Amino acid sequence: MTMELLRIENLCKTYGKGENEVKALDNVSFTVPKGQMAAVVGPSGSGKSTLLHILGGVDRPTSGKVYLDGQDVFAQNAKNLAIFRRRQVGLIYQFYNLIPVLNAEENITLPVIMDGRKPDAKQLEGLLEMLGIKERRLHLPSQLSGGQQQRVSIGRALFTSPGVILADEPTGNLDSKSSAEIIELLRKSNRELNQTMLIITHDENIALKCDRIITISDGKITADRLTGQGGVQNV
Amino acid sequence: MFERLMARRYITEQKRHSVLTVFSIAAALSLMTLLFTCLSTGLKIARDVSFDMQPSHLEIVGLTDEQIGIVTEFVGDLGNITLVEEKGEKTAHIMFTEYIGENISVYAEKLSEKMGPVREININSQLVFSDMIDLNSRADFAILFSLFFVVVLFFALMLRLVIDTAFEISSKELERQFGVLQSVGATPSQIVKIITLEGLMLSAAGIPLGLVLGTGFGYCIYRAVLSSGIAKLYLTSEKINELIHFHVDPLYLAMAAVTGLIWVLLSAYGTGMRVVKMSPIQAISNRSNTVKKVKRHSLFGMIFGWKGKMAARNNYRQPKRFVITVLSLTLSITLFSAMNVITDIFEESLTELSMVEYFQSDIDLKYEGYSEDSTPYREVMSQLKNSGYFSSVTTDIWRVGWKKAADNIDYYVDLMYYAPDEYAKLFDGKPPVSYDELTESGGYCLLVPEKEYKFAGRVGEISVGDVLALDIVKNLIIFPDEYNGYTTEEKQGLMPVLDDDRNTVYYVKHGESTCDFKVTASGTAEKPYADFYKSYSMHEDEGMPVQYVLMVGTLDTYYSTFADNSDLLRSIGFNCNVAEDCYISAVDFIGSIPELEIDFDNFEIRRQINTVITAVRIFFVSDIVLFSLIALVNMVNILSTSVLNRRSELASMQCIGMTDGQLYGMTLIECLQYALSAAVLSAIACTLLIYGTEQLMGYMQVTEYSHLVPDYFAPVPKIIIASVTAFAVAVCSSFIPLMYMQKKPLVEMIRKVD
Repeated sequence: MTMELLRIENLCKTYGKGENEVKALDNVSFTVPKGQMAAVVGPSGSGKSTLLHILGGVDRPTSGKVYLDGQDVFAQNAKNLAIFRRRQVGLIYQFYNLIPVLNAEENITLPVIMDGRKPDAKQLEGLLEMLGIKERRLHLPSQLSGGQQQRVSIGRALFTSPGVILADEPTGNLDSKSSAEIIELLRKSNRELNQTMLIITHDENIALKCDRIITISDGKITADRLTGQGGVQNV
Repeated sequence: MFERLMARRYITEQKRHSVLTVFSIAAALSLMTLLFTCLSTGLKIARDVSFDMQPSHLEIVGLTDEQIGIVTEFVGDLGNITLVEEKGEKTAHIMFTEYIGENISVYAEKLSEKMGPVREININSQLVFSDMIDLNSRADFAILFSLFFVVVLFFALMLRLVIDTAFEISSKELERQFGVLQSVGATPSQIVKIITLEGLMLSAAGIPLGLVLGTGFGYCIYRAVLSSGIAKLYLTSEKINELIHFHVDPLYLAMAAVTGLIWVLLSAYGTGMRVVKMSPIQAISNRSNTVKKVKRHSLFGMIFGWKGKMAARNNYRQPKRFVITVLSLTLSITLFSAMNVITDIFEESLTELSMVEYFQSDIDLKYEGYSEDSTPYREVMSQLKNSGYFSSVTTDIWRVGWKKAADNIDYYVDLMYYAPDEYAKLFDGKPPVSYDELTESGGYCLLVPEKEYKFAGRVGEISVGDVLALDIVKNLIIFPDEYNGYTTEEKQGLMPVLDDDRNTVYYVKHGESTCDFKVTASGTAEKPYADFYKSYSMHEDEGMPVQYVLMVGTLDTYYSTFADNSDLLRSIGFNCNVAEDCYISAVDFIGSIPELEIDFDNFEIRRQINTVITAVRIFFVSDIVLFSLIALVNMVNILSTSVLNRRSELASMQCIGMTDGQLYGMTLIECLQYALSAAVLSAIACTLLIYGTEQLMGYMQVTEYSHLVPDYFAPVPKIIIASVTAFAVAVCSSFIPLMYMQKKPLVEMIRKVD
């Protein structure tokens, strides 16, 4: 039996009130087993990013529960939630969101440094090697290309070996060559590190490279399929 | 017109930013208006006072009719002549209405050559300067204005930053929209025009507001200076009302307004140019906040770890702004510390002065009555005591120069009389010998312990029980009436004693010295009397061996010994402390007693010194307020802008696990860097100032006043106070936007980038 890492129960998120009320997420429930790489697809405004932010502990749901490794994410206070984000989650954004005053290496190690720990030099070397940015480790974000910045962002997400990696359109701002490299990198870390991943994407090719595709429309899961050699199967 | 429409829309759309920009313009302009108003008021007062003293540029006294004709012809159309005749003497007052083309002294010399000798020619240099009617005054005015404009330029540079930052904040918000406008076809010049027009529209409100605020601030300073009483040191109350007025010169106001307008235009134009330098895509994606270079290692990083490192790097993102703000803070803190140290020295000197015996009471009175016994003296004393104008009246009979005959060495001896209560007070109610014993002995000697005195080398030679024979020189006082009856021979050797108006009060005939006063050294005085004299070393420079032996005697002893017209009796007087709010009545009352004359009006001296200190404080405080406001407004703008501009970045950090505590901690260190940098630079500046003062005093060979140079640690507490204040302001200006940001969900903050 596959070990369940992420469990989402009846998740709802509402913005606005009265006439202006918008249901971004409407009773969403699903689970993600450890080591699975799942894609979340759907049209714009369907609630994909809201879901990702809630899973990452960046936003709070209106109702419903999120369990990571059996722990109720939103039962924690603000400080513990921040520590949860630091240790348990790796966030990758479309626009990288790197800290402009820190170089590539410092950006990658920031969550560990914030945790008051000393970054493991060996682990860093290995990661930089894997990301292919060893030569650019001392460059500032402004001195890196989009693809390189996204590699740094992935490195930052991976460095703490979090329970889950959440990527919001990680290739949305990149050319096709860089996109392919980034997806390959994510796939590699998923396989080699047995890293659980949830990727939001519009790109069908990327989605097909994942183990599972969750389709969201108007805040509801409309399809949940496994991909593989036998084609797509409904969960 | 598209640009005007857009500018108007942006102003109304961004109400909060528009208000901030208007207030920034107003704040900057109010400070500039204040400078111009102070200058115009100062010049106007100087002109009015000089005109009051002599109502013409040139005054020629003792003219003949023929000379008047020459003067009229010589002056011609250059000015007006007013003739005044007093006691048969004609005086011409010349007021020039035109520039005379040369120095007034040369002009007066030429006129003098032409008209011949007159009794007096007076040039009113101040009025000539104020009206700029000669070559010199124009040159002086040019120098004054050059210096003034150097100050203005200095302020302008700092103040422009205030406006600049305000524009940057509002334009930052609109960058995306400007990108969109460019992408749909707006040209860069149209974008620059929109921002410039926005600046002009906002300055329509900001400039008048700044002029009003600046004028109001100037008036407050004028009132403060006036109520400090400094003008009373130079002018009577009547003259103050007549001549000292707050003056607003429309020309200067216009100059301040134009300067403000130029700033606004430059700032708006500069912001516009910066915005159009970005490509529309860059602007739309709002990714202009890139960092191209950082300091790898920093002191703050070493001290505070990663938070310190990030704080230092954040502050160096805009190095120019950081440096200007730190420098303006440094200037404010240095000024604040220097001002406080200077006024402290003033006050310390005043306190020291009040420790000297002369200044211990409010008014020292000289008693001018001569009589065989002490009755009239006692009567005057009871009049003073019963008047109700004095909180205390003590006798003041002291300091008689004596020569101790025994070893032919001159000593200085203080022979004093104290009333019983004063005598008891002198020794904290525990005198070494009772007052009764004193009166019984008739003359009583008290030795002041040697160790208490710097120049008391010989006191040890006198022991308790010694009988001292004191050499008394009895001089004879001869009053003018008696003196007039003297023959020329008799008048020889008589020394006139003059009053303040150089009139002879009486003549002194030096008498023979006699050893007819003997006292017994019956005890030694301990503290506190010795303390009283500690700082009293005024005989140091006289170069003779000084022995402070205190002789205490009864009033009758004095009178029986010195009543025979000896000028030694001149040292009889009273020390009075004035009751609250009774100074004027007390002075009037003293004036009504013919035997009394004010010797030292310490109350008035202290009041004047305090007035000067107050004036100095007002002057410094005004400057400090100006500099501090600029520095603080800059710092507030920069720090709050910095937080607002980095909100998505800060949100990103929170998304990857930064706690609120860490976020506030990092921001706190950023603030600390401003305050600490300014504090260190201020400490260096103060040290250099003190060192410079020391060197200058050495160079000018006035090292005897070296106690006026503060020690190197004196400014430290002041620097700490000012830096802590700056730090507190910095923390507020960072934490307020941070708290405002914290109220919004992280997702909203991070979407600013996405």
